[in-house]
Amino acid sequence: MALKIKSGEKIQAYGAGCKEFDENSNLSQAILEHLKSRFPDKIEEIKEQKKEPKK
Amino acid sequence: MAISATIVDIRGKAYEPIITELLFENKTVADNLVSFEDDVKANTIFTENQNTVAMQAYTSGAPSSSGTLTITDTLITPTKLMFYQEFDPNSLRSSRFNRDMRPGAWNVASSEFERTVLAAYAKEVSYDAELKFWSGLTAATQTAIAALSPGTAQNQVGAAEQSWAAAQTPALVDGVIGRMIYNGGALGTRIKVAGTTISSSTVAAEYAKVYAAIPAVVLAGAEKPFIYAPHSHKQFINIYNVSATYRDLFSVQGDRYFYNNVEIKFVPLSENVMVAAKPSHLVWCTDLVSDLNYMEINKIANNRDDMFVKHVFTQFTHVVNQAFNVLYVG
Repeated sequence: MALKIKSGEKIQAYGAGCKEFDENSNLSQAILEHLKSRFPDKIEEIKEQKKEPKK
Repeated sequence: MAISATIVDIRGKAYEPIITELLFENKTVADNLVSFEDDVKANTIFTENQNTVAMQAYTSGAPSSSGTLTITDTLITPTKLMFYQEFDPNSLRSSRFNRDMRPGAWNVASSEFERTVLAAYAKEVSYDAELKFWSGLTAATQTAIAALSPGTAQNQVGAAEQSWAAAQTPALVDGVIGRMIYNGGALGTRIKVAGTTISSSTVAAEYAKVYAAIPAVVLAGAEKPFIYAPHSHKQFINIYNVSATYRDLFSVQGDRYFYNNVEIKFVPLSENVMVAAKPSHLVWCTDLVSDLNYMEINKIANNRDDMFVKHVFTQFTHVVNQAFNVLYVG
């Protein structure tokens, strides 16, 4: 399942001298998996859009 | 360019001394925490040699060659760098600095300004050079690290390493961390340790991972390795020791910190990153080490009174014996 940083959350993973990650940061899924291990409350799975049933 | 200042016209006394920013001293240079190679102008060759031997049964006939003799040359040209700022001493005429300006409209030089403000500026220059030596990452290396396929094996880049690289603002030079992850157009051969968030409660467990990864031959050698750690770890260790039953895991002797008899050196590394290596394996290459301390202050032109302050130096980070150095990234 694809991951993303939660809306409004910021992740400062390497100290004040480094960039903060947020929902707009262009991060690979491998990086997001790693960040989830350190900041589980700030990463969520991308929910699939519900498919409308055919009428 | 005028000095960016909130100046109060001086009428009475000024508080002594001037309150300057708090900065860590450049201990990497001051205490020789790594190896320094100067007189490196351009295309200087650093050579590493690795050999393997293979015992074989004796034969009185033609023997077979076995084993390897490997010589690897790295060509290094340090990057030429500068710090340059212009300022107008005339901006200081109504400030505290006019107290030591000599009489006369021509005289706006203040020795107090040079002694305090410009001296503090010089410390910032030195600290920035040290920061880039450890944690700098060029845009090209950042892109190269992002393009690698991550994995947990030693011969793969770690997701944590890619995460660290993505968090960097590109610099003009690659530092120790960047060079350990990627150099010579390929993944570095460092000993990779996957880490996590380091705090006072996790510091012992995380240092144990780094220590366990140090090759035995490195610990046994005459030249002892250091664990290089961010400055914040000093506080984490002190807090940990308060509740530790026996303070022999992290021992503190005066201002010297040790983990299992391996000395810890606090340098400007990113948080949650550590390096374990012999000082001779981390090389600060430059034309002249003292270039970093040389600051030119002069008029911009003969027919002008505004001035400049300028540093010029060269810098390159080289990591040798990569397979014996540990890189921990959380």
